[in-house]
Amino acid sequence: MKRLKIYFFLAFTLLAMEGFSQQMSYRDIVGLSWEMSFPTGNNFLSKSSPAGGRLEFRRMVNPNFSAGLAFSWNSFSEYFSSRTYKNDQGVAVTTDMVREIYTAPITAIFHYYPTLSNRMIKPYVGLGIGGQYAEQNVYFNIYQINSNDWGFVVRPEIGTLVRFTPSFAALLTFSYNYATNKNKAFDQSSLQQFGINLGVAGLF
Amino acid sequence: MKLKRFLVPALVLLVAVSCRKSPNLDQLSANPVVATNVDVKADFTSYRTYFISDTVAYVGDNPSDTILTDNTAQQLVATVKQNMTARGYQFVDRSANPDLGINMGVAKITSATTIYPGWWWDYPGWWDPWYWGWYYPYYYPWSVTYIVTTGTVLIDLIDLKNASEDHKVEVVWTAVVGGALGNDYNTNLQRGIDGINQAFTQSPQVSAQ
Repeated sequence: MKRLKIYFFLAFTLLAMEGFSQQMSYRDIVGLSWEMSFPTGNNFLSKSSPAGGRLEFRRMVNPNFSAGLAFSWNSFSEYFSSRTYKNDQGVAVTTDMVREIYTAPITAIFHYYPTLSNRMIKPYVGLGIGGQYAEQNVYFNIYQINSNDWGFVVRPEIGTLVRFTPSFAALLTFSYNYATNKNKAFDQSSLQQFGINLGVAGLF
Repeated sequence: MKLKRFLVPALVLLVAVSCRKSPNLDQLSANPVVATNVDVKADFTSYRTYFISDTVAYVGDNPSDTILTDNTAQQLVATVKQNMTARGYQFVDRSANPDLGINMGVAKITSATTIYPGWWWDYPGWWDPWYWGWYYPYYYPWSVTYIVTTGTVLIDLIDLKNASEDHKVEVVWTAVVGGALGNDYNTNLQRGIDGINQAFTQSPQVSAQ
């Protein structure tokens, strides 16, 4: 009886592996997506932006994990009507202004894909770690204040691939982007944003 | 091969969407930026009298333009006087030892220029410290960069009452009203006047009461 159980287990494992080998008809995932972002946790600007995108490459290292690289970009801008800005040193400035943030994180990405019986849906959770280039600019009248720097970025995310053909899928990701980019003029020590990515992925 | 078929349109799409979105600067008003710097240690209630000349130092594209005595100067000076009176200060003649002296200058520049602290004193028409009986330098809080077709009004409030024994004086309040100029003189002048009023509004410390 015990031997029968072992045979049964081995047979089941072989069948599962066979199923995986059929499912894993690809090794690489190349994704391109439109990225909509919602800035949070800063007093520089809060207006969401549809002006963003993301290019990513993932290589499956086993049926449940992938590693790769990703590059995103986002442009935010918001108009602020005239008001007076004061500091403790006696300086006051009155003006209206447009504030702009441009971010470009470059991250190493790691994803985990739980095994599902449904081959069309391939959900995942992931983490991106890397550097983020950011510009934070202020425009008022004909003047401008510019700052740019590099920061450390962490980007946890959750999402899914939806396979329509063996080599083509839709991609949907929800992410949170935390970066250490700073802005001295506005006393900012980080840039944070939620993101929604909707795009396509090639499976090779 | 499959990768190449995917990558080519993907990269074309990437180039198409990766253009950085420019901010919409059309939303910005044409109102000048009003910046003030007040000496937080100064006791503005200790002053009672002030003097301001009825002419205004002028920096323009023509080097021979050094001073304004026209309607522009009269209205700008009148605006400063109205605000000083409203804050409880009394205008007196320069010979009556005023507690405060006011320097005012206007710049209308059509090319990029940066004015550094002290530069004004070398410019003809600008009241140098000897005008007040004392010598350079007194405290200047910032430099100002002029770009194409800008107009700027600068006002310095100088503490004459507490001049040190070595006759050094300090600026206790500075206002800079600056921005792009339009083509209409009256509009530009009104923006300058509004800017001066705003400079006093955002400086409640400048008050004799």
